[in-house]
Order: sequence, then C-alpha cells, then structure tokens
Amino acid sequence: MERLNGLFQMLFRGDKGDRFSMTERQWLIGVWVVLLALTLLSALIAESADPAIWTVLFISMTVTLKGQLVIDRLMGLRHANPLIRGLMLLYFYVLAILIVLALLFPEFVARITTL
Amino acid sequence: MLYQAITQGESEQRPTPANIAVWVLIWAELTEFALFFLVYLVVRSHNPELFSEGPKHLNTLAGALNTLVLLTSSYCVARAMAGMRAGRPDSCMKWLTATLAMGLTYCGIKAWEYVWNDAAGLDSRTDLFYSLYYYLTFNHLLHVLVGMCTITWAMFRVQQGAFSTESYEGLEGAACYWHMIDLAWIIIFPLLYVLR
Repeated sequence: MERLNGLFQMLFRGDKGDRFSMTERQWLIGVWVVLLALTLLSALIAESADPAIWTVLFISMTVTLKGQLVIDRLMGLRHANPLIRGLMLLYFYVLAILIVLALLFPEFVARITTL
Repeated sequence: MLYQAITQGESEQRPTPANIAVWVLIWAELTEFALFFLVYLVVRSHNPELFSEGPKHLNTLAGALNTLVLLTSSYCVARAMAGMRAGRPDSCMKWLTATLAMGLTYCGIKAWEYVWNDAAGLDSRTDLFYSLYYYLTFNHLLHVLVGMCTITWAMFRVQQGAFSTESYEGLEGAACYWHMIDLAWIIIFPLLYVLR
C-alpha cells in the first residue's frame, strides 16, 4: 500500500521534497511504465470484453489519465503557465466527455445532429 | 487520496516550455484533430452498427504496437530534454536518435497495417467507418513525418552546439510538437480500435 501511495505521489504530486523523492529519470520511467500498462490494458479490453457501459467509462478515463500524464510529466507543463496547461487538460476532459456521450447516448446525439 | 494528489499540486510556477508561437501551432493542430473526432462521433451516432462492426476487422495489434511506440517516443523526447537541461548534449542526441527510430518504427508498423488491410479487402471506400479510419490515421501519419523532420532539425542544431543548459527553446518547441502527435494518437487509438 505504501508503494502504491508512493507511485501516486510520484505521478501526480511532485518530483522532489517528500519521502518518495525521486530523480527526474526515475519518475520519467515511472510515467512511461504506467502509460504502457494503461495501453496494454485497453488493448486487452478491446480484444476480450463485450461492449458495455463500464468499458466505455473505463476507456474514457484511461484516455484522460494518459493525456494528463503526457501533458504534466512528459511535456513538463505541471508547473507551467496555468492557462496553457489548463487548455491542454481541458481538451482531454471535454473530448472524453463527448466520447462517453456519443457512445452511451447515440440516439440523442443523432437527434441533435440531424438536419 | 488520488484526487487530492491530482488537485493539490505545488503552487510554484516554472517557465513554460517553448514559446507562444509553438503553443498556437499545437492548438491549431489539436483543433484540426478535434474536428475529425467530432465528425467521427457524429457519424458513429448515426451508424452505430457500422461503427461497432468496423473495429473488429482492424489489426488491433498494429494499433496497440503503434501506441506503445509513440508513448515510448514521447518518453525518449522527455529524456532528451532532461539531458539538455543537465548540460549533456551527448545524452540529448542519443535520446533524440531513439525518438527518430521510434518514428520510423511507427511508419513501418503503419505500412504493415495498411498492407494487412489491403489483403483483407479493406480500403477507404469500404464504408463510412473505413473512410474515417483512413482519413484519421493517414492525417496522423503525415503529422508523424513532419514531427520526424522537426526532430531531425533539432538533432542538427544540437550537433551544431546551438543549444545550452540556459538556452534550448527551439529544442523544447520540437519536443512539444512531438508530444502533441502522441496526444492525438492517445485519442485515436481507443476511438478506432478499442471502443466497439
């Protein structure tokens, strides 16, 4: 549990100054491994799970999470200008919501987009 | 705890990578992709059976491999930036070369996927799903090629000694553009290959 907490701290909180202090190299590797794991999990779901509400929600969450990790940690926007970071993150939040809406309520989307 | 970790970041602000022109370009590119995604979602809502069946015939392995390759390339670019910040242009050069190799691998896998589709009798005129699939993936492939040119330019500049630990804005611009390509694929992969 402590290790899991350490991983969350590393990915989402900070890269220095706490008891799980890690070098830039170490947390870059950590982020990369999490991104690969999320991708493999998504591919596994694509091949094995039947379409269901939980798969749509889970896949949309992984898209948002992967986007946030790349933006914050690989692009290095975690502590950058809040406007630029906010716009980048907003892109992923909005698109994830639109994906969920389009897949879970296709009739509604079809109705409001019919000319 | 996870929510708190995400929302309670440190308040210390650091310089934003690259410059405003690069961010305008990145936003323009992402807007273009967003329009494609919106078209995809609207067309999908009107043709749910077609878009549920379409991904089943795609090469999911190729899509997943390309996702892994692009994420790894983003990691390589981040390591290149870390190398330059640490005053090690040799390390920066090594990781940029790895990024370029990942870009070439992506192109190779994409070529294999297109040949695989062709052998399965799938092309851009098969149905609406495949039209959008080719439109999205080929457009993304073009961006990868542009990104590879940008990374090559950055390597050339690093070789020339144009960047230092204090001044590497051009390198940051190239890195951010490459990350943008990865970000677009993060959405393309589930839309085309995973969600059925």
